[in-house]
Amino acid sequence: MSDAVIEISGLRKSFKGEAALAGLDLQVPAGSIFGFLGRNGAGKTTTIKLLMGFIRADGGDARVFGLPTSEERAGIEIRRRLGYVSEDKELYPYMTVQQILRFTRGFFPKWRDDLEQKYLRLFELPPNRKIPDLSKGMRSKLMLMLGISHGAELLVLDEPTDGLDPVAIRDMLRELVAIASSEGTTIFFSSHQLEEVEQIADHICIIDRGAAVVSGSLDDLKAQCQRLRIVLGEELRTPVQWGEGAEHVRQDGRMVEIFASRNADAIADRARALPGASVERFPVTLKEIFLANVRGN
Amino acid sequence: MLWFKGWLETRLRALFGIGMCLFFILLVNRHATPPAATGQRALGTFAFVWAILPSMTGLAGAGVRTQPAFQAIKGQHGSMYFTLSLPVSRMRILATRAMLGWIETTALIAFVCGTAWAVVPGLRTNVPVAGVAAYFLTVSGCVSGFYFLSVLFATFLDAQWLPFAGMISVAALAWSLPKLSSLPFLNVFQAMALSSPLFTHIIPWASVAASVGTAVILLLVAGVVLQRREY
Amino acid sequence: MLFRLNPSSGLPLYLQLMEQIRHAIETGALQAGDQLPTIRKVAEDLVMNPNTVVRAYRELQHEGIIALKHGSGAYVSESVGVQAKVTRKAQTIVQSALERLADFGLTDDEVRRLVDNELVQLRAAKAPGGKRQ
Repeated sequence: MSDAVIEISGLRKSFKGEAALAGLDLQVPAGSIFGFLGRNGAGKTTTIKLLMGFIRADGGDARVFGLPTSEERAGIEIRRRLGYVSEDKELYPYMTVQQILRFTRGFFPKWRDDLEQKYLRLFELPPNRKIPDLSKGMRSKLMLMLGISHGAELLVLDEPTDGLDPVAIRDMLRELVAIASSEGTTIFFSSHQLEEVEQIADHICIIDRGAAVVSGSLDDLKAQCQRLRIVLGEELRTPVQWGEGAEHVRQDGRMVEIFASRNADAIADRARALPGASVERFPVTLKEIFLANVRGN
Repeated sequence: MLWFKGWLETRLRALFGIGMCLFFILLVNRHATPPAATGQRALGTFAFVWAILPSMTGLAGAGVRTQPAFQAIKGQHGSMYFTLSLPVSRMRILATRAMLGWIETTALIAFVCGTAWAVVPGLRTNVPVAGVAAYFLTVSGCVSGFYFLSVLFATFLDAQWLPFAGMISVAALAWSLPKLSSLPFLNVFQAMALSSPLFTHIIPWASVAASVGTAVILLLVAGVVLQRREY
Repeated sequence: MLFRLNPSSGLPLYLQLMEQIRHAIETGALQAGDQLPTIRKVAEDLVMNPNTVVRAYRELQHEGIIALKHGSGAYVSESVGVQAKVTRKAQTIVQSALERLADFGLTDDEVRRLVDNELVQLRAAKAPGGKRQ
């Protein structure tokens, strides 16, 4: 995909013999709001660290803006064009808001004064307050602002709403949407808060045990996946071949529930062919897609 | 920009420098003027102190004392992630921090030398300005080796005190091992004491060069270590 | 405009938004010729993806309910008055269907579920296919 801002293929990384990433494939289209989902420990933060150049991959390829993340010079150019918010939202504890703005500004010749002023006002960040005296929500906003104000084409956010109260979450999501629509910034964020992702993302990828299990446009996924509830005339004695796409088939007496990842029509037809069957079809939420695709303990 | 940050990190270290200065002054005052025998011994001991204390101050300048400079532990000082997310090479981050600390180390040495010379009457009458300057150059050259050693340790030892412990251990080892002491031009402690310009009126260039050369190598090694490190 | 969406309901957001806009037109909150809020404003107010809003607007344009004027925004179609007549006709159909169902002794919720399921099936049949990993 030529207009993919982030392109990852076959990415592998192990820590002390344990595989954190086992061949990850991922493409983030330009201008999208991309939700990167997974359970804790599935490999989200490792992926982000690899994109940022904090760690090096054991194998595979990762490119941002078409540049390889594994090379130092390319890495510097990548970081000049992106903004980053870390999981901990930690900044220098001895600086004030104003100081860190001045500090960061020095690294980016294309600093946008207009955006700095706008967000300083909008986020209500007191310029002379020391960073440790800011709440986590305000630190998150500050870090976001540092990325936006240098005109980043891509924002890489590691669990941006983690630890935030509902008001701060709403503000953060709203600003992400606003910056995406006004500047065309691509937004790549990891989360395990499915509701937020469902709200603002147009593309997602679900990672489980170091590999992508689902990825693509959220609308398309929701259109394809369905939940079928079948009530049969009599209990099934022999197992039924429901067909491709039928997953997580659960049976309880004369009721059968199927999660269809595709071919819902064919599966429904198959169901209706059974004696006395009535079929109900329900749309699925992102939560159901997620739970159906990641393996539990 | 990194300089500005470093400065903010080290403002409080001046107190430490003043303390050290007082110590040196008291020491010198008590032992009158060189080349009194007790003065020589005292200076020898102080050479060891020279090796360690300015480096600690300087390291604080490199951000190591108040917060581990290159540490990125979750929940404490994960600010290294922010630094690494900026469009700067790791070498530049290291070099800026290390050089700032080195400047502070050298400034401290200059301050101590200069103030002691100005304050202690015995020194002022017996040692010309050129002599103090030569002494300062010798000491700062010799101390550089130790300073950059602790910088190297700081790139991979994450606890706050480990780089100091490492550096002090190596310094103590160098001071006490007779073999090392016997190679005259390598013994930096000697260079800062008996062989120092205070007594010989010439700068022990071999020792200074050896120390500075080692310092450069250590800085480069630190750069490589930091480059390869995973956060 | 006060739209309300439920991201977790399962129904795609663009469809929900389309429904809300249609409803606004039917109840007269939006009238023929009125300008709709900009895509950006809707995205920011509802905290949703701007592309989703774009999609909703495009689909509505496709259905003839709104018109997108290049550069000046989205407007409710003049032909919407016609749409209101269609709505009234549809209402009659629904009324008679419900009367016939009344004999089956179903509860209101059961009837609603049947209707919802049929709707979902209709929509799913219309929506484009996507790629599954």
